[in-house]
Amino acid sequence: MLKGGVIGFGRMGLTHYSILNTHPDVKFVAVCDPSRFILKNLKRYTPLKLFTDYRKMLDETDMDFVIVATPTASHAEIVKTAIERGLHMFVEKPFSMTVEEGRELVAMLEGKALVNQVGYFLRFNEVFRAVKKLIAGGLIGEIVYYKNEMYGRTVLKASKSGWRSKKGMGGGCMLDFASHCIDFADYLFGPAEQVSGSILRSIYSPNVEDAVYTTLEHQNGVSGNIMVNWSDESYRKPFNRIEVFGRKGKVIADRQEYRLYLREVDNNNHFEKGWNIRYLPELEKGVRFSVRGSAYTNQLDHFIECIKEKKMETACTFADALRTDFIIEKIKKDFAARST
Amino acid sequence: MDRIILGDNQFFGVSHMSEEKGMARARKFQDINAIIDVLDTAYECGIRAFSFSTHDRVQQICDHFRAGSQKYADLRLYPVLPYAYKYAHLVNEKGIIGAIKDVVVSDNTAGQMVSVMTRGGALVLKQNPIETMKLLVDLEMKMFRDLNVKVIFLQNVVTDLLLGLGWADIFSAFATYVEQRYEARAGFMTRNMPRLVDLLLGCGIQDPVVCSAINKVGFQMNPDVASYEEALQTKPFQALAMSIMAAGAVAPDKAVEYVARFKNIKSILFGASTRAHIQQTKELIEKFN
Repeated sequence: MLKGGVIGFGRMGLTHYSILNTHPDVKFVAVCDPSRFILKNLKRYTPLKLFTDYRKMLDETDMDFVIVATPTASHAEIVKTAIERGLHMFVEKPFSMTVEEGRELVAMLEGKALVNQVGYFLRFNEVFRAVKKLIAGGLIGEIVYYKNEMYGRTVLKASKSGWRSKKGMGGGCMLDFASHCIDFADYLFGPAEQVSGSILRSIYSPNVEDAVYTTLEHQNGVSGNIMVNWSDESYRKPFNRIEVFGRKGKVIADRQEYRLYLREVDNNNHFEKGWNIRYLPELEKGVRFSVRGSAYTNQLDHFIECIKEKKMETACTFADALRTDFIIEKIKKDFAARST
Repeated sequence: MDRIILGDNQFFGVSHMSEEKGMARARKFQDINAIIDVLDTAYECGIRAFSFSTHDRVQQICDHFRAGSQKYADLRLYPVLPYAYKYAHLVNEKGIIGAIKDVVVSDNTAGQMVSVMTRGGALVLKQNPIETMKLLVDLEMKMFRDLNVKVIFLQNVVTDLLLGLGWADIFSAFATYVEQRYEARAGFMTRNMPRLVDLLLGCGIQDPVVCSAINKVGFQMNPDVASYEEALQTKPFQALAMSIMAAGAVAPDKAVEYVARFKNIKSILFGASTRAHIQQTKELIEKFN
């Protein structure tokens, strides 16, 4: 039985707790959160040890892993402490506020057998997994470019309250939305190295950007555009779409379906010449327990599996997520350089 | 419970198969009269049971039902609450507790400002989640006032979150409250039906009403089809089946034939927006009865 703790019991902390609380090999022993309401109710329902100070929690509780679901700005100091305590860690995305602090954390992991994972859950969506497989299998040939979009209605008016509207705490559409697209591009095409044509726009928020547009060039020669806007009321909920063009065809995918166009028939994979459509119901298998979508369960069960198997290479390590932080920093610099 | 219930996903841009298809539907139903036309068509086809989320626009539909109280005299409603996306931006901005407080305090309709303020402001933060639950149920149920409500469903994200937490007494408190206050049965929507049924039976809810996807390909059925079939065959509960065609993966006749095999599937919830589709689905369900 693996003993776990949660630091930050907001929407994601609560979701992760709920999903893993039903895992047969997991027992939660402690939660840390500043909210009295949360702690009071956890006290009412659970025998958990409760804390408002994460250091105290890590000092006083014996555990195997910790889930860090606090605002991004606090990740670094918490993760640092968790590494010192020798805990396996699952950290919400994005990983760190600056590449410098992220590098320090990745360096600290060196030589330590600690499982580390960041919550870029699109990597665990079955449609996107299938898309990765067919791109890697060469079905659409050599990739020329992609268009990688994320839209939603998260911010529809000016707001100064809440950490998402504060730059210093990790707010803004760059860290919340664009980070998903950047990580997803990394997942499909490998590390990006060049950034150009970046635009960060405020639409309603007074202090943070609500839209991000940029061009990435990857080490393998693939390039593509990222287009992100979290102030688009026309979307009912967050929406991701990627279109990848290759010399032998193209694929357009969102979280629920992919459409594959092939210039030639592919008998090995039962694809026709022309359009092929696959929907999530055909691709997704049941999970042991689902809250807010199976991808969340897949990513957490993967984390627990890696701890049990002593496998340090998770599907999204700190080092993987650090590459996204690196690109985020480049986008900001690119935009700043052209703005002055 | 009614054998056939028409759902409302199709009206509000929800499609489990395709987000683009969902958007196309949202366009089609931008005009509330387009929705009312479909509801009237279903009514003409003999359907009397309708399920609605607490989407803001459902308020207008309820107003229409109240205005035509003679025409809709035998209407039976199966509300699902809360409509989560309505609160998503508030939760982003203020956190879960902040959002609840905001919703409760900003609700000043029906001259209840003072009482809600007192109940909301003080209780939500100091008391337990059961009081909070009651308050939110009342707020969400306001739009259905004076209409005949048969079952009040807890939406699946909330049900499944609580199921994972294991806070069973909120489920039993919800069931009791809904029965006493609204003279309706409590229902629970879930994507984890077998586990939920065990928990509800375990906390003493008799013959619980549970709504979940039920189809032979296992779409939105966790952990798997076999566990669902076992629960349906062995557990004392009333099942309401949705997504029986698994968003298009199963043909209509095969879908209905499959759910008709299970005696404790009391109702089938389906979505349709044309007369032909409504008629066809209704006839199929009646054929396999």
